[in-house]
Amino acid sequence: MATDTTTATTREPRRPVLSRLLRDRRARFALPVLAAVTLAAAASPLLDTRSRATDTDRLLSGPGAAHPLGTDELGRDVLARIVDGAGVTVVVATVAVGAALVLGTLLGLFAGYRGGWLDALLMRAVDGLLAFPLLVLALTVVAALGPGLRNALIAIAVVTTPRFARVVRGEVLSLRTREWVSAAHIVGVPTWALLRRHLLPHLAGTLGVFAALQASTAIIAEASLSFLGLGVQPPQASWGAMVAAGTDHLDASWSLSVFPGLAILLTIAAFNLLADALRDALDAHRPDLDPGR
Amino acid sequence: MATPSSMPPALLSRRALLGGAVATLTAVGLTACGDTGERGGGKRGGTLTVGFDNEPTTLDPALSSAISSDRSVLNLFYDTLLRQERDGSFVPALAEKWTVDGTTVTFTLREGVRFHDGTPFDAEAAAFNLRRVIDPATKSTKAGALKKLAAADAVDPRTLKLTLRAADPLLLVQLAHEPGMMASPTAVKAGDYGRKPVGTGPFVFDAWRSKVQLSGKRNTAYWRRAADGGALPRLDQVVFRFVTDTKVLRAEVTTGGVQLVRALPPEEFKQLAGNRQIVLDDIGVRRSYYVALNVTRAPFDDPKVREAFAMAVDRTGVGKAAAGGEFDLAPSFATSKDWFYDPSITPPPFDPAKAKAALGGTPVPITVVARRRAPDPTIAELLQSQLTAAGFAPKVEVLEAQTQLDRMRKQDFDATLLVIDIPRLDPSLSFDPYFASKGSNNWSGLTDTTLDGLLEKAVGSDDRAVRRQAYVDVQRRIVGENYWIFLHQPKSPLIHSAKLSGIVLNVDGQWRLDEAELAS
Repeated sequence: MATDTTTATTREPRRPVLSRLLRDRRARFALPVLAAVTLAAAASPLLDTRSRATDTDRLLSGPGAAHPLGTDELGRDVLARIVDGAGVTVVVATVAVGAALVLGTLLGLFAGYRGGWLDALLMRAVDGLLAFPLLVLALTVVAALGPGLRNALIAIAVVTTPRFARVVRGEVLSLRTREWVSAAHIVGVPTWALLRRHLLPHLAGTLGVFAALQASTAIIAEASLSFLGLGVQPPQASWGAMVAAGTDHLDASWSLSVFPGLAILLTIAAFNLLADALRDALDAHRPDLDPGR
Repeated sequence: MATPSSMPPALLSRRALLGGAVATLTAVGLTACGDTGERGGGKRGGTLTVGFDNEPTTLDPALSSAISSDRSVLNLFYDTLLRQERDGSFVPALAEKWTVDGTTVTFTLREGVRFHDGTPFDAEAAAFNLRRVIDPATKSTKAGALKKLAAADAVDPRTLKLTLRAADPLLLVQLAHEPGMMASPTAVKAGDYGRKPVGTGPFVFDAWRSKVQLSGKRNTAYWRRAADGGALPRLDQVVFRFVTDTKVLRAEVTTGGVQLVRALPPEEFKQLAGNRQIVLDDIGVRRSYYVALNVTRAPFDDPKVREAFAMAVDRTGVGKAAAGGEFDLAPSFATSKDWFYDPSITPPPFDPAKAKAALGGTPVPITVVARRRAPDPTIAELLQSQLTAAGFAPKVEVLEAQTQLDRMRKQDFDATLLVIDIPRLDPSLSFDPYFASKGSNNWSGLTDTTLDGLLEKAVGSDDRAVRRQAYVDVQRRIVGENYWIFLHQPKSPLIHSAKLSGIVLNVDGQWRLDEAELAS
């Protein structure tokens, strides 16, 4: 058990944020959904063969006993493919957003703390990237690199990084004038250690909330790229590509695009609600008015 | 003026952007037409908008590489010396009469015909065109079609004499199509000809925006008359819009945005069946899906691996997934009505277990290239699944048309999925380009002397029975060696608005639109 000596200031439970989060209704919805998606992703290698097994005697059949969510245009099991697609979604939410988080935080920290020409240069570059709508920029990156999951991940990381950099820089600007930062600087704490030990912990909450929000954006971006045929390539399943295939056969099977669409919807809603709940839980000044919230 | 009043509504599709651009362009085009197209009355006039999925890469008939579909476009701008009717008979066109005397063919040309740029059409111009096709420097894709032609000479302005190396039973067939299309020598010499075609045909080239549309305006000086003596063409303008998304094509023909569609896959045209505004006419044309294997490199240089591929593919399953019930299975590029059809030629039966055993355990990596146009990606995905089950490790690349063709020309693939329209004018046109060592579309990279010999034999005779036997042997060889795997043959009806009539078809179902008319 990790002991935490720095935050023992109140009479709150030992893990105030977590306990507040668990009491939040939004989090109570979001966490099980995300746990289910993660479980599905973990299970997806087991269902690999099932999700790729075509059956031309059973094309576009509706939900039934053998196939709970029906089959697609090549007779593959839709449930198995949604589970398979969860793997992609989790990779996007962790790898792409994780890469953007690390890169963006580093850029933001240095830009904000150093200031001067480095800040100006980095922030103008970030402004340039932020000027484009997210999906347009992602499309451009994929067009340059070629379709595929790896390139989609790169594209999403590239378009998400400036957002993290912006947020982190803003926070650092307000923190670096505080007395304890100046004090640390004066006693000769090296810049790197100062950023890591004194500034970064204060950013953790903001970053957590923002990462959850960006995860939902990244999932939409991946789904959109795959919908356009530029993301995940067959036979690997992806929710976006499944929705696209479903729209091609909407007149023959209503269920084909509905279920993957629902999976996208639920996952994104879960990330957004989690972000909301996390922000409230992290807000130490927020009076705990309604315990049932 | 019978301008179609229904503008294509901005379709909500994955290609909405492109659609929007096209709609704007068409709007501009129609407005312009309203200003200038006031001549003619009754059934004459109007703009025919065609939805076309297979944009030509060039409008130079000598360099056109799509074996048949380009001709629906080229027929707008070009004439040939003679025409072949759907029943196979020949009628005069730019030549009024001709005599075949062994290895000499003499044409008497029509007088007073001019190319769209004013250049007179005479024997010298005709000879120029034929010489250009057989000149190795042109690198014409049609050179093979005229390979027996030794010389083309203008005896006098109205007399063209062809000297052959040997009698060629197919010469007139060839001259009635792309190899015999007459282009203006002035325009050809001016350069960039593939984008600026000038012929003597019913329509004058107007504009071509790649991936958007191509248009032609009425040739007011066209030489040909209708059977009732009326002037041709009847339409003021023809616009070919290049739309590859079959959903969009179907929607466009339903809403009247286009009045004629080249080819729709079965799942789309089945939905048009009850619509009284639309005519679906089964003209006997089939699309023949195939997979060509690259025999110039591993692993398909090994006949055993090719056989394993053939055994891995469930052709009925592919047909069901990609064409609903609307398909035939045939041994090769022969439809069941063709005279060279032989049902006893059969590919290895579907047997993934045997294929897997033949490959010996380790998955064999292969690259499959396919075209980004429904239902090809679906077929590719299904093949990928079937191949994986049979011990291959296939990587599928879904490419734009031009990219795929480039890859095929460079033989940078292991297996390629594509389709041709059959029947063709003559079986030699179905088989020679793809299977002769020097064929222009020899995707597999074959250098099979046995096959070359059979193909030679098949075109060396006038005798139907001899030719039939040769073509049966050709098919047996191709299928026996598993150079190609012939998949299903979806039906391909002619689909057009009920207002449109007068479409004349080539032997292979390509259109001539000079007599077409639109009811208001």
